[in-house]
This record gives sequence, structure tokens and C-alpha cells, in this order.
Amino acid sequence: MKEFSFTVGDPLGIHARPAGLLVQKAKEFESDFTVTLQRNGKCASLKRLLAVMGLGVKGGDSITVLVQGKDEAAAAQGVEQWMKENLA
Amino acid sequence: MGLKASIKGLFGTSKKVGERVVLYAPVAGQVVPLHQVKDETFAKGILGDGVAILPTENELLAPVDARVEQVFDSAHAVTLCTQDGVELLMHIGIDTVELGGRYFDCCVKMGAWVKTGDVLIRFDREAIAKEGYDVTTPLVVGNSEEFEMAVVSQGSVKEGQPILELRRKEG
Repeated sequence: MKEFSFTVGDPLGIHARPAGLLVQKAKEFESDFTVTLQRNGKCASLKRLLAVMGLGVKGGDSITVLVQGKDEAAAAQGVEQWMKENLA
Repeated sequence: MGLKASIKGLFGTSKKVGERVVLYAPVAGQVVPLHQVKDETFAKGILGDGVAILPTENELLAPVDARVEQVFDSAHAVTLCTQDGVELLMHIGIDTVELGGRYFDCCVKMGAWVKTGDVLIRFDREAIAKEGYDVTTPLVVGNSEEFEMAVVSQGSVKEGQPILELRRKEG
């Protein structure tokens, strides 16, 4: 299992477009991702668009991502990198 | 009914293979093929397959009986989930998250069950357009990989006219 935390810098948070791109990125990997919003403990699968949008992640929120599966090392690294490039 | 034909989904939804779901136009306007939407996240189907409408009215209606999953603070978009597990996203305009809720008034609460034709969001399309935003409104199915989908309206549509037909795939 791999885990990383991330603080969303984008003031608009994870709205439709970033949610779609994030889910697309997560689906490149076989591993399962569980994202937890620190503010209220709500969690969602990173591979389900409505679940990710339903978290309502706002700018400044911190999230934790748990990654589990065969390709978890590459998956965690790939998604964390994507977040740094697109949501920081 | 076989074992596979009735699977209780994650949210207690029933997911029957072959079941047909019709979605009705949420607003009157011109049908725009999704790939022509001027936002590549929608155009490339990254948010799911579906269709868009360039509205000629100012009310977004429920396209099907469903539960309201999420309303954004900025009230420009709404997500719904039907009893059959169809996950819908409707997004009024392109980049309209930037308006921060101006010209949008959400009429429903998260978790509410709505009926086809119920008003979800009232918006001022002239004002949104005047601010320089494209008001094209995509209607996409977030889990469209689970369905076969056909766009059943073209040209101009009235609200409540069938616009998408879905059939749940095997497996």
C-alpha cells in the first residue's frame, strides 16, 4: 500500500474538468485509489467521477490518497505528479 | 431473473443488464454533438459520453427521476444518480465555474430525489453570454462505459423531449 497527501492550491478546487482528468489519470493504473478529504473525512474512489466530484474539494483543502494494487508504486507516483502539475 | 441480472450496486441501486433508460432534454435549445463542445474535457468524453444543448430557456430540468448527488457552491453544475445507477453530470456553460455562482440559482438540495421535469437550476443565459461565456450545456453519463448510448434527438429540442437512450451492457 502507498499513501500520499496533497493540498489543493487551485482556488476553484476539484470541479468538473479537473475531476474528469484526475479520474482519467487514475484509470491508467490497475491499482485502487481511495481519496479522503481531511476536512470532513469523506472518501471516494478516484476512479468514479461522481464520487470524486461529490467530495466537493475546495482550494486549500488537504486530501490523502491510499493506493493499493499491483502497480501501486507507479500509480501513486503518477497520480501525485499529476496533482502537482495540475492542482497545486 | 438470473443472478447476474440483478446486482445490488454500491449505493443500493439495481443494475439490470439490458435495461433501457431514457433521458429527456433538460432544457429547450439546439442539440450539439458532444465532440463539438468547446471544452476538450467534454469533447473528448473525459467526463463521460453524452450530448450537449445550447439552451434557449433559463431553467435546467431533471432529465430523469434521480437523486441529487452534488450541487456545486457555484451552482453551475449538478450531478444526479438514478435508481438504475446512471450517473449524470449536467454543466451549464463552459468555464462557468469562474462566475462563482453569479447568474445561477440552485433549486434543489443534495440528497433530494427529483422527478423528470423538476427544476434543478435557474440561470440567466443572456447575462452569462454577455460575460463572454459559451452557454452550451453538456449532459454526460459519468459511468457511460457501463452503457450503450444513442442520441435520439437532433436540431432543436423542446424540454422533456427524449434525447438520450441508454442500455446497460453485459458484465
